[in-house]
Amino acid sequence: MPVYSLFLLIFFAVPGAILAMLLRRELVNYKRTILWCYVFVYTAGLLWDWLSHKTGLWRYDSAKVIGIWLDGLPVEEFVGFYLLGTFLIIGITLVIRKRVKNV
Amino acid sequence: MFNLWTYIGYTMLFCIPPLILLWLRREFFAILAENSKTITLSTTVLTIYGSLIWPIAIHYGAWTYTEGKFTGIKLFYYVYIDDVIWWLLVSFLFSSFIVLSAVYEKRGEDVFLHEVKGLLRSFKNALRGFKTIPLERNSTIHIAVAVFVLLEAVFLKLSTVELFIVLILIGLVIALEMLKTLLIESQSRIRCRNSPHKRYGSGRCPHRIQCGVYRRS
Repeated sequence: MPVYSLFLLIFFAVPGAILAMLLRRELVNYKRTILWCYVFVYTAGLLWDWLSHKTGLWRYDSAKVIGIWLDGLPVEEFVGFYLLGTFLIIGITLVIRKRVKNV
Repeated sequence: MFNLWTYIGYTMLFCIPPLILLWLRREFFAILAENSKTITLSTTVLTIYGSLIWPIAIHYGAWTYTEGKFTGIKLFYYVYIDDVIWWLLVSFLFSSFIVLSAVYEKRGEDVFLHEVKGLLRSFKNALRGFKTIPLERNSTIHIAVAVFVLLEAVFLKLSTVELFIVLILIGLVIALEMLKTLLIESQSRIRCRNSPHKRYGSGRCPHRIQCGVYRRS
């Protein structure tokens, strides 16, 4: 069972979709900010993840992921964790920024 | 690498340097301090959320940690302190960058490109400093001696560490020579500007001829 995918779907994709709806206009206004966040995640973040995996800090159970691997890292990591996880952080920060400014 | 502190060590290695880059600059600090409420609130919300969901992923085996590479200390008997620190630093870093970049983007600027351009300009200016080497007698002597020392280092089969020490010292000597050139040049320019001969025009000022560093040597 792809536990990792389910986890990402429930805890990252669902709140991410809600945040995307709340931030329809902001996402267009801050597209460069979003772009740079993804650039950092897919460069420095990937290096960090790869290093942690290579040194054996964390491991993935092949029975709990889809089964497509990229140098020891499951594809969920690239598609789900980096993409949705980063969006969650961006979304929450932008929502809070919007609310705090309106107070 | 850090045994029990591997997880926290990596988190700090990848988060603390960029945080210093963001928070140490006075220009950025002013913006970040102004938006500290947003940053604090985002960091808190994300850390709490992450600390609540991470143990669920670990419980169902989405990923596992290797014994001896993380502290294993649990906060409230629920979440590993390593995970809490990960969320805390990652959220703080991203919130800081997002807030800063958003402020710049609202002004119609790109903070990252702005920084990269500034950095490239600095490197360009630093490289221009090398142009002073052929103009200075002392600098040419330093370069000749440096080449001699490097050739000697090869013949004497110095170790890598020893060779690095020699290279660092050569670099220091050239850098200090450039600094000295800069100070002399600045001093002579100030002297020329204050010279009573300036009424003859800059080209005829005797100080410019006598003190100009390039002509002096």
